[in-house]
Amino acid sequence: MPGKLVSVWTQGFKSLSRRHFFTSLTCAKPPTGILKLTFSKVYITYCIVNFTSVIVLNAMTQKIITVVIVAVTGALIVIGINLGNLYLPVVTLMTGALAIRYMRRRTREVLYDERTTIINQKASAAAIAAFTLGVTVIGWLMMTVGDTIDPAYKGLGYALAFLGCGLLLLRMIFQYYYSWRLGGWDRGE
Amino acid sequence: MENRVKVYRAMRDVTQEGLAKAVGVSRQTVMAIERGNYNPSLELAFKIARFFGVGVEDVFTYDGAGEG
Repeated sequence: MPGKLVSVWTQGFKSLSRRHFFTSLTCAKPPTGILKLTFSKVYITYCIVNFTSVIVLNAMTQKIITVVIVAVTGALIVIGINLGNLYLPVVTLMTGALAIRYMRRRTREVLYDERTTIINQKASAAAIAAFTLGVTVIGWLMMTVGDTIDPAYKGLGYALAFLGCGLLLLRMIFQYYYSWRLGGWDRGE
Repeated sequence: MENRVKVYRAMRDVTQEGLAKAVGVSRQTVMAIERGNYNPSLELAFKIARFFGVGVEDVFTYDGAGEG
């Protein structure tokens, strides 16, 4: 009987692994406790609980699932806002965030290391530079020639200019902070 | 900076994934180091050298060009 149960379990995983989407799902460890259980609802519950706890993903599957979760979450948020339902976006956002977090924890490969940190730093710096430049140019255009199209554009131009200045100020503050954290003040010793 | 990670990996018969797992980085990072697209931190360089059982200068050589 225990042999049969193990066989059922193994076959279950094999049939799952044949499906295209679950090719990277593997059984990390065989559920030894299952041998003592009889085939019943308890067994099925035990299987489900164990299945979720032994899910192991590779990086590519994790990325695909994350993209799908982000797309579905985004779509549901838009639908919720359009319907005027405030609970749907909040619940969807929280569920999506938890699902992404779960997927990251279940990934067997290293997803974040020093190279990804550098990539994130460079991407953030480039995004800030591009955004600041865009805001400055559009703000300046609105301040100077916006009046000819709509008087409201001038105020918007000032707002964008202040936004750009605020962003640069914030960047300067953080630059001083991290300069201090990663080296301290130069006292000429 | 030049490196001989691929050579040492071939000598030890270790896969990129195996090396990545041993030093705690992603396979893409090992690949980038081997291609010369990414210069590892001092800590990672020491880890890689220690994994192969050699000195850092045996694996990585500084030629005075390129950025970190």
